[in-house]
Amino acid sequence: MQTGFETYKPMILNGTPDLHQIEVYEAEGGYEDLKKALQIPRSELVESVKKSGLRGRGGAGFSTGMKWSFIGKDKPRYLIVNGDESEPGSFKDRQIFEFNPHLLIEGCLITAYALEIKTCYIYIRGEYAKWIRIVEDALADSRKKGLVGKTLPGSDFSVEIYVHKGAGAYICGEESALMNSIEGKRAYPRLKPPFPAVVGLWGKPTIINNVETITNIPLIVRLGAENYAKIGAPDHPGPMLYGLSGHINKPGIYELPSGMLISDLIYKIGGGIPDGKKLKAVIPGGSSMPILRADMIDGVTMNAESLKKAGTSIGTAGMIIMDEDTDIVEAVARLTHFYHHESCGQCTPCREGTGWIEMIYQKFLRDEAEPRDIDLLLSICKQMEMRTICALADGAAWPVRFSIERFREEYEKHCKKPESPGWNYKMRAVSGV
Amino acid sequence: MPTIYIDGKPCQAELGQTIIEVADGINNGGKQIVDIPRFCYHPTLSIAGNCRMCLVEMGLPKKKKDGGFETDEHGRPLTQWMPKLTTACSTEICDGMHVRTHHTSESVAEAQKGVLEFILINHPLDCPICDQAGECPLQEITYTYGPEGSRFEFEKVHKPKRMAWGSKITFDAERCINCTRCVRFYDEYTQTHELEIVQRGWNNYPALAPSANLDQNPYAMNVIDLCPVGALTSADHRFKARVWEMSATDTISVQDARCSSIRLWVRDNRVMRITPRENPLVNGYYIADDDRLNYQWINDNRLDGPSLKVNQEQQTASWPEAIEAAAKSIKSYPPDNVFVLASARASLETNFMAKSLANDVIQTSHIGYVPHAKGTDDELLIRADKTPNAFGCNLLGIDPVSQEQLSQDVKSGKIKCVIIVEDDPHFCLSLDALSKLAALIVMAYTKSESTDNAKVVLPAATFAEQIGAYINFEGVMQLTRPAKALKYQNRELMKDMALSRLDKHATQFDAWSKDQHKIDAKPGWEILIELAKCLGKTYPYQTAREIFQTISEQYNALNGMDYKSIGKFGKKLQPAQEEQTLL
Repeated sequence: MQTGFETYKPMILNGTPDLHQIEVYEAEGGYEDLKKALQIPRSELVESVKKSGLRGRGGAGFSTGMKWSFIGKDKPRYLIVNGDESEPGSFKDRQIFEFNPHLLIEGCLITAYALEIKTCYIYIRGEYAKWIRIVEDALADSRKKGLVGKTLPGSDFSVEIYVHKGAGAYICGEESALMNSIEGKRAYPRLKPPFPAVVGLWGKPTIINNVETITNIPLIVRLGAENYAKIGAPDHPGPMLYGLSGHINKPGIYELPSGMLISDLIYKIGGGIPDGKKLKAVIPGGSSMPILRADMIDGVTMNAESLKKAGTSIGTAGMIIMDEDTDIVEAVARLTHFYHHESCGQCTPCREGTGWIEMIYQKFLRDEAEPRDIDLLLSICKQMEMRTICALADGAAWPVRFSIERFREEYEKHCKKPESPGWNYKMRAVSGV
Repeated sequence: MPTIYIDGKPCQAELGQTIIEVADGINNGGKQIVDIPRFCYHPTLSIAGNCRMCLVEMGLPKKKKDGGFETDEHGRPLTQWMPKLTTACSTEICDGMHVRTHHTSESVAEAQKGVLEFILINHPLDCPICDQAGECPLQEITYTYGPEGSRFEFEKVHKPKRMAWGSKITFDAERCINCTRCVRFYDEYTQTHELEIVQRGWNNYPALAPSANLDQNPYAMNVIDLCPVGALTSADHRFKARVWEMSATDTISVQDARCSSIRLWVRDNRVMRITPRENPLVNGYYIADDDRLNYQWINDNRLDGPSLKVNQEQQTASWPEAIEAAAKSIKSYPPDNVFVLASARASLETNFMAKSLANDVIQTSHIGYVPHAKGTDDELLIRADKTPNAFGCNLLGIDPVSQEQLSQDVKSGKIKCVIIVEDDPHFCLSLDALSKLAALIVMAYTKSESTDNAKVVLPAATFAEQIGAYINFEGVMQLTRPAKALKYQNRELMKDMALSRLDKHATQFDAWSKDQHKIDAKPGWEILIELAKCLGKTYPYQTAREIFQTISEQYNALNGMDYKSIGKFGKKLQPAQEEQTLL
């Protein structure tokens, strides 16, 4: 199903110079999709997004059209574009902000029109100072052209778009924490249900989509749902921004059809591993996703179904590639530091578990670990997974759990100390693994 | 009515209720159906769902595509269990829902142990010196549901300790488990927003906003009771007593006309602290800080035994001598020159006896009480009327009289003798009126300049030493109960007195209880009966209960009431009856 990627012509990051300037964008046929969309009845637009099979590009991979159809009847409604891209390995939204901000704005306008939304927030992480400026400039330009904040040409509808800067917390990428953040509250994820589509920002129905997801909306309008659905893997169609980072010759973001072979991405697109080394492991989509051993990627493609079969998930398609010399324990230790630092501390298991896990990894790195520490890690993961309000705890536990399950021998090599007697790690109270 | 099944047991429930509410017995007369441990959930606060202690397994009836329900071969409905454990505090019920708690589910029991292990890894476990010990949900829940030990072998996180949150509250961030009850209390109940969680991850703790001043929040201290650990302690009570050394008496506050339900914590006949008592009819779950902090007057500077003024000085006297002297003094004035000043601070029984003394014994029409008002009513609990029983006085037909009016009458010579029943002479009479007064007979709680000037001083028991009825501004009648013993009382023999563990089960190791600090005072009604007897009328009452019996027979509003029916939570007078009596 990955055939034809050689001939694929990028639509989101198409390489046109200065595309972030509205004149260039319009010369390239920009905002034409918006005009087209404004002629289509709203319900038809929602229906075609549903039919296109577009799945959210932010990590969970939920059907976008389905999400839209859940929106509550209450008004006003809000649209939020989630650009709080903070997960290690993910850097695709940044490319959109830098190279095609108007496509994002056009996507916002079409989405807002389709869902009768008058206010849209683009939430960008604060560290993206440069890209915030680019998006703000682009917004100002489209405002001058009468697209943002004014009645849209050929309709009686107007949409206001605001850029909201984050303040440097990974948790703000969680949709309900993001809404609290916009509201000026502490970014604690909210209890669900109610879901944002019904009770969201300011208590009103809110649709929250990833930056990349929204940039796909004009493409669906342009190509039509049927044609769009033909791009890439049928269960997960559309263009996809693959991120390649780690031990790879040509790191970067590549726009290709979904469902690419992981091996093609590494060797054909990414130019292989530096110094001709062998592959050891791949994390397919942002650091939270289960890690794959090199011998697990044969025939595995980057779409939900295939990755699920392989025992992982697509996430943001930001692949982290590790060569044969990588110390998995050290690599995961770095990730555990990230999750410890970023846990908001609301729920007990995540608040305490992420820190505890990091301390155990530090013990591994100090060569002080004992074999039982491996099982202790698995037990802590079990105590964290599926027991918190949001998915950060799962995201923190999975790299640990799956790296142990798939690279246990590496951990055992790190256990430099013999098991000390008299310490019963498998306490009757807290069950083991 | 929808039915849910908790551990297979059918429970009635209503839509909109949560699993924890049903388990707590919201539809079962408040009787718990099954125990579900929790830290962050509180019935008066919004749902936070952050402690993860109340996780349960939840399942719904398996639905067929046509809308019907799937059944097994015996026709029993099948349950679709959710893959994730869910929080009982936030999950609303629906008809046919199945819930498995730790009683029937391995994974729930295991999750509880896991959560507790997590909570305890950074908890200082300084229980031996923690004021919360003995009444600490974390201790109790760990004891019942927790793991047997910890596998954590690193240094615990260090956070600020002994932080003064104003002068009333001390905060220990290391003990805090981040349940956010305190944050939500100030956000939702007082809506003053003094707190917010700062930092991230396990460095989290609630902190005061830079400009916030909790000393100005009259409800600030409720967070101490809300706190499920010893993170928030009362600066006033800190390190003064262990919980199990004190007896806790269910009684009411007499600080204002709300008459909030409280507990008086007493050790060795001294009130050590006051905590709120849940009473939906009166104060809900909370009390004002004034209710909590004003107890020193019950312990200190008390009048201990009656006294007479001889040669400009107070000299101790026996009760019969003092009563005799008071009666003699009253008799020396025409009834029209005597004023019996009842008190909205005294119980219904005492006021009834004051009225009987004035109308039937002395036969004067001069009876009244001086209202004590300060500030304004607020939207929550605090009342401007700082007396607990103005409603009761009015109901008995005792009218308010202003200080100016009373002082005027004294100065003009209309009133020569005043009997003050449980009130402050300085508040009731102006200074020049006091100096002009021929005879002042005072029944008071504490020593003061004004008691020094009285002709006869009769020490009266406070609300903490007797049983008595009070009616709050909304017409809810409640009882005070004796929490500390008077000189001639024996705690064990007093039926109405709450006993501490010590009173009931003391051992030779409990030598710290010396039964000290007993004060020589008598309940107001008892003093008034003795006075009446000296003035020639004998009343048959031995106890407050008997007086109340008479009152309830005489006043329509109270018909059919007795101490038993008032109970611990009080009883609201019927509005129709109120009108009848007041008219």
